[in-house]
Amino acid sequence: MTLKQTKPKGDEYLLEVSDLQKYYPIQRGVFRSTVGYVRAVDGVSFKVKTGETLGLVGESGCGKTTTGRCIIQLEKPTGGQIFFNKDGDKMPVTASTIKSLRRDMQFIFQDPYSSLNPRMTVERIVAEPLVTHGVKNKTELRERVVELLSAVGLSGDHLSRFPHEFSGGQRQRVGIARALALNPKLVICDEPVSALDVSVQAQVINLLQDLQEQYGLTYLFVAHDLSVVYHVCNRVAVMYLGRIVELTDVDELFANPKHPYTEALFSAIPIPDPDNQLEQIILEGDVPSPSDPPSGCNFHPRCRYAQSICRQELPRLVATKENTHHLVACHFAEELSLRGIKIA
Amino acid sequence: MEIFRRLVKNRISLFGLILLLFFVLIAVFAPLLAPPKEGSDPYRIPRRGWTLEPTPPSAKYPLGLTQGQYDIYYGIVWGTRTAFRVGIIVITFRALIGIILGSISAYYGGVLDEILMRFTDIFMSFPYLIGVVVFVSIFGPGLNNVMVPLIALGWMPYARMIRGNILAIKQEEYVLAARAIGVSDFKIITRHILPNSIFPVLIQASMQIGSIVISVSGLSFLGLGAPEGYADWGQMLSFARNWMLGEQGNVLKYWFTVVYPGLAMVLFVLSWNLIGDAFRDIMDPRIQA
Repeated sequence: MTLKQTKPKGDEYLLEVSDLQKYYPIQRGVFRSTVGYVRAVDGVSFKVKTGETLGLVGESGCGKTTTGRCIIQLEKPTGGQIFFNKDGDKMPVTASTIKSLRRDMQFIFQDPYSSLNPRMTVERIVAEPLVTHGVKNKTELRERVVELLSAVGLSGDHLSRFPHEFSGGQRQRVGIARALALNPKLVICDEPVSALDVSVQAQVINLLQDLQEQYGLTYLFVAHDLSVVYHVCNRVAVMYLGRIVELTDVDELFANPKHPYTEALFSAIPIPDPDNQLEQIILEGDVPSPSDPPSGCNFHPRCRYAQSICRQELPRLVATKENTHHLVACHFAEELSLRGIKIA
Repeated sequence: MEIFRRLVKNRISLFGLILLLFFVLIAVFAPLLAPPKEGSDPYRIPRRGWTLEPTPPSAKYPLGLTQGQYDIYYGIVWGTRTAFRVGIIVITFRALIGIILGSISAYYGGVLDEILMRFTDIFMSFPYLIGVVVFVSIFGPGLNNVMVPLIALGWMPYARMIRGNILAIKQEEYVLAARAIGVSDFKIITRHILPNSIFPVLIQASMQIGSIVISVSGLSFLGLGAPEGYADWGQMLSFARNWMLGEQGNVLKYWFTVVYPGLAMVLFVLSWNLIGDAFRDIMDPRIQA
């Protein structure tokens, strides 16, 4: 018998994902026989602490969006487990339990141009989660919607407008208001700013950070822009071809990357400093197809440090000796000394 | 209302609307325009005599009397009601069945989609004319017995169209957003998917109302539809069948037997087609401002 453990606040995990898999069958022929699988997410594990922002980065097609969608069951995971900490109870997140967890987990979508129904007014869009979860009183609804809109920097004048009357940044604010309507604890942000202009990106990011502080939100922040990630995240998981290759605190990751892929990603960040003459690491070839991933370490065909063991053995995601909070999936994580980056 | 304003703005669709309004008024005020005889079925065209040969228009019978002395004016006025009834009932049911099956098929996908679509294919393989003939030969002629097979063998294009549209809309992020919020499937379909995918179906439906009237008239012309003497434009054209060629030396002698019912039908179909056309222009998102 164990007593319910009361862990110290701040070290409590709000979300635990273990060995998450999402395979899409490839079907061919008249009878739709399955000839293979696209391994979009292939054994991803991580934990998100209450109140933090965990970044999930990687290039297009590495499975970061799919991971986010699997967590709130927009996609049915093929394997693995997800747990959500609901008021101290560790609840498994599955298709049958998600209903009671929707209030606590919400999603902000990438493209504000397609994430709002073009035939609904802003009021109806923001009110929809409230109506769905039982708010019936009209005046109460309207008050709450106005409150939400003002929280994201829009005003009550916008209530009866349609999405096409707004700019991209304003639309994304509407999307954020909708996500916040139910007072969620966890918000999964799926590249919330990548469809916006750079000037608007900063505003929306600041808004997200303000809201986090105000409402005590926890973010799972999916992104591919490393400078955005550096700015908003506490910890970062780097994904490559459906797997996490490195996971650690953001400062540690940027200063002291341990995976060759992370190093290559960093070398692609433009640094606005003429004296900074870093050699760029150009990755050879394309991202391999997730339907036919390379043997051993996924990254070996493009890795400049690859040895024969990399072709044969899949490296596990383990902590380095010097820092138990720094997880890397590389056979040579201890030996290589890789170049970090400083972002002013 | 926006749609209505645009319909009025466009000259062609305005013409269609006026034409349609004209027919609606005729249908609504039929009892005043052509008062039926007390106690008799108003849909039965009164006979003004018993000779076979049509009587040309006169002051008393402004559009003349067709074969068997059936009053053409009366038939056209009350036939308008028949046209509306047939067109609207058949199309409504076709669209309804199509939308329900098509949206279930597209939204849930997988095996259910496969089953429903093969079911649709099976129905598509029956020629509708044969279907009608078989149905009528079993259950007897009559407008209702013609409408049933027209519905049963006509909903498939709607199901396919709505399915295709929904498959496209389903992947939009606002549908995912609604699912993430926990909106029920029924509300997702009715609030998010259908409003964004139903317009092509409405356009198709409005255009088809006209052509359904032609089909049913055609069947009446063949003797499968309305019983003799029933106020139906196709029936009236079928009366005209023996008199279309007039007589030797005077081909146009019985022109009124063909022209008046024919004109009513042409204008009726035209009005729906013009409206449908205008609808399509308005609903095209590329034209939308």
